[in-house]
Amino acid sequence: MKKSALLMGIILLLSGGMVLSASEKWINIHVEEADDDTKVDVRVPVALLAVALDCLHTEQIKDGKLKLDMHQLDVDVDFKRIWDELRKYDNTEFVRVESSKENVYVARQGDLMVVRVLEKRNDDAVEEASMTALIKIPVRLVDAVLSSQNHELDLKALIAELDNLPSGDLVEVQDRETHVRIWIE
Amino acid sequence: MSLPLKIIAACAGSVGILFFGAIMTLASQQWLLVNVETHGPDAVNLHIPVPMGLIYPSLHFIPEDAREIEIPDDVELNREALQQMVQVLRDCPDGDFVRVSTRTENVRIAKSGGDLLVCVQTEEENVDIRVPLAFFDEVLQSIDGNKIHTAEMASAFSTVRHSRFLSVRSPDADVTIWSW
Repeated sequence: MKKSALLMGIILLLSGGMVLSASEKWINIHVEEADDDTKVDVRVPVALLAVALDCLHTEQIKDGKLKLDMHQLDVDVDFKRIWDELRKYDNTEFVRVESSKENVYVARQGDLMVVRVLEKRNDDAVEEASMTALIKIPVRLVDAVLSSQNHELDLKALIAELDNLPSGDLVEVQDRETHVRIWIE
Repeated sequence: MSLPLKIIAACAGSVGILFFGAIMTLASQQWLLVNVETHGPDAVNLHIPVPMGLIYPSLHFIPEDAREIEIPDDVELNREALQQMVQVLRDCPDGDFVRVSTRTENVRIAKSGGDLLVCVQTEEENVDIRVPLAFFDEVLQSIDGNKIHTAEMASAFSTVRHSRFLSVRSPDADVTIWSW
């Protein structure tokens, strides 16, 4: 009886440890530049980003919030209000531009905001595309970053939400020289 | 055994115990072994063993104005957040955090065991730094508001044991610091 209780205890401890380590999310960034043979790989736990943000106090970043300089942007856009309107629409194509130079597609697909950009080298040479960008941002990530008022981006909420995301790609940009990939696992 | 022999044996025993005690004391003490090897026609090879047991007491006699380092006003050090950062690093599994490789240089920042590793390789130089995370804990203890207490900061070296702390290889000289 004692032995089986001890064994059960050990199994519970081990499984608890496995659940803890499995729930820990890491953000990965891979940048490859072909022209100068450069490769950059960054792999850090999301928890580390959260505490690193606490250490960061600049004019723009305070209390985990990034203040947008609207004077520098030369426009006064209420991003939060625009997003509040946009997020009401499920599975909707918001932008589709098809031209001889580029194709741009912005849509909501379920829980994701998808942005796809395809730059072409000439009219009918899609195979020779010089740049493609695919950005898949979970809606709740945009909710988190725009949860603050007064033209601020809530980086702290963004990082907290990153920790809750399932594993997968967030950003992938590929052109002839550069490949950038950001993903969570 | 005759009396003179007994006296000689007792003296030899005492000397032996003293000698053994001294060796044990020296061996148990922390040492920094600094090795500097310069290159070229006037090459010099220096081995400097520094007993940390002598360094720590002498830190109390450093000049008043060198006892504290002022942190510039525009730098805000959040000690609690930095301590939390060290704790998160400690809880992380071993592995590479940053890896940069170009044609001319490689940089690697990783965690191995309880140590943080920084390795930089360029065409001419090689720098390897291995710092225990406990070292950062100690250094953070030395921060008091906008001041760093130098004596407390230096005592952080007590956390560096039995490892090669720093290794620099360059065309001019090779420098290695071990802690023992």
